[in-house]
Amino acid sequence: MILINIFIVKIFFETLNMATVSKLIIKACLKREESLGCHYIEK
Amino acid sequence: MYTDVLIIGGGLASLYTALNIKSDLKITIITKGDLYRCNSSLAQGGIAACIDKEDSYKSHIKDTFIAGNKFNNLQALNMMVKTSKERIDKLIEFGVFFDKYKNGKLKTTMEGGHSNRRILHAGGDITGKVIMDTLISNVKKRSNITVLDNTMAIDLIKNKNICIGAKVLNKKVFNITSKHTVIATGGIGGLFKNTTNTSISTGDGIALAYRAGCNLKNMEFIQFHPTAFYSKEKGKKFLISEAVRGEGAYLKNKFNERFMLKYHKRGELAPRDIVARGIYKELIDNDEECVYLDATHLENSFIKKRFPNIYKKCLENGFDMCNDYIPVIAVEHYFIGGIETDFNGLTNIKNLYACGECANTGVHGANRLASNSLLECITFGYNIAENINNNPYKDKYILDETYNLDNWDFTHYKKKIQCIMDKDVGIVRNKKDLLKAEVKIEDILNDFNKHFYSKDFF
Ligand SMILES: Cc1cc2nc3c(=O)[nH]c(=O)nc-3n(C[C@H](O)[C@H](O)[C@H](O)COP(=O)(O)OP(=O)(O)OC[C@H]3O[C@@H](n4cnc5c(N)ncnc54)[C@H](O)[C@@H]3O)c2cc1C
Repeated sequence: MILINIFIVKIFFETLNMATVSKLIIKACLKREESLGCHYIEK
Repeated sequence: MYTDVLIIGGGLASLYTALNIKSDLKITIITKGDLYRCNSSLAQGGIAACIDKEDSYKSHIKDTFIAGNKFNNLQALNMMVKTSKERIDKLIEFGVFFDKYKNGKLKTTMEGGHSNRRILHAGGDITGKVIMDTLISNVKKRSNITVLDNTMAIDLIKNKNICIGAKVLNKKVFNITSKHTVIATGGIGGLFKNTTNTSISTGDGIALAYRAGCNLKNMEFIQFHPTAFYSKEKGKKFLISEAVRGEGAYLKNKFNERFMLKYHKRGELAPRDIVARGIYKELIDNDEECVYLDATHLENSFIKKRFPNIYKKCLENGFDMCNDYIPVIAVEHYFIGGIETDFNGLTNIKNLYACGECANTGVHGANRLASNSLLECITFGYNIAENINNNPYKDKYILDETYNLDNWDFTHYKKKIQCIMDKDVGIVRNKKDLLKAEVKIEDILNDFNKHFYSKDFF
């Protein structure tokens, strides 16, 4: 099918990127179990 | 379309890199908005550099190391501090006019975590805008640099482990092939509901790099700025520079107490994470929505001259800094983690570089010292340019396919992600909420995979 709502496609990629980076951040947070610098984890 | 150097992003990291690349190389800069819309243009406080006789490299390195919780890459940090004067001189050469005393000496200010006055500023509190405006006019004069506005990189193109450009989107999707590709897409503020960043900061470069197989590093380190103007209205959380506290303003709670002295001996000028957590704790303990920045004891004329932009913005929102306490909260501000790079800004993928806030060079450690990020942009931007200048790369790939796209609606997901990140991945985290957040984000990604995203997406 030919596009074309470019704006929607842009939002699609931005949202996909946001979800991807969020996932990577959360995984890194879970891996570092102790607080360090600006990563502060409550016990 | 073919170019020698493709730079994805148009902030300070991008422009400083581009302007230091030899003028016989064809450079293409793509930006999601236009060159003026980026976090670099918003920088207020200034740029840290060791230029004063009273200051020393040792002291700048030590302050950065302490703020970074000794997690910094010391070699990279050493290099950044020791070349800071040269990099600043180059900015001055490009025409950046930093604030000066009548005798011509550059003015410097103090910020949290610094033990010397080493922050250069321009236009009072519009340092980023002054630098960007100057570099943009330099870029416009360079015939070897083409800028494509409203053009978004959506994926990198690789040939084995070599990056050969990017798939980009403007009015259509097309390929830009290149010998060298630099990711300079800035931060991740858009992942959060409350941030000082522009809305274009959605972590694109980091996601592209991840999909292409780049190593990422220190992704858990996100800096929250202690003093963003507090308002219930959407989009009104502008930054109130650390320099305001640097010049003597106090943080107070609703009982008119200077609470930061309870949390750190440097009080308001403690490292940012400590101040942000101090504010967070006051809000929880006192059931407050915000705390207050008190600059009323500073000379009125000084406030207006030193912080013209902040003064004006507060006034527009009904607060006169000279007479009123300004309501503030801590919000997402700066991403320390990112695409792992070496001294030359190179990633683990050949001919692919990362620079600026999307990169992790290790200089900030586990927390960034105020005003070191603009310095990082120009330090590594210069190194990348030098590396490109000294490594002409022979192969030239031309892949001129274009694509057409389908039409979907998934706009509600953005808000959902921002709420999850603000609530569960904020200033104070715990394992239970992080695990919940992980499941929610995985669900969103599954929706993308299930419904929209597949290899034959196009
Ligand atoms: C309000 C505020 C004040 C600050 N004050 C200071 C300060 O005083 N001192 C200091 O050192 N630091 C400060 N910082 C931090 C500093 O400004 C940033 O870290 C730095 O400017 C980042 O520069 P950059 O070039 O990496 O990214 P940016 O300047 O954010 O530029 C990113 C560019 O990437 C483009 N882009 C993004 N995604 C894509 C895509 N998919 N395709 C194409 N283009 C894309 C954008 O359009 C933009 O042009 C401040 C930050 C903020 C938000």
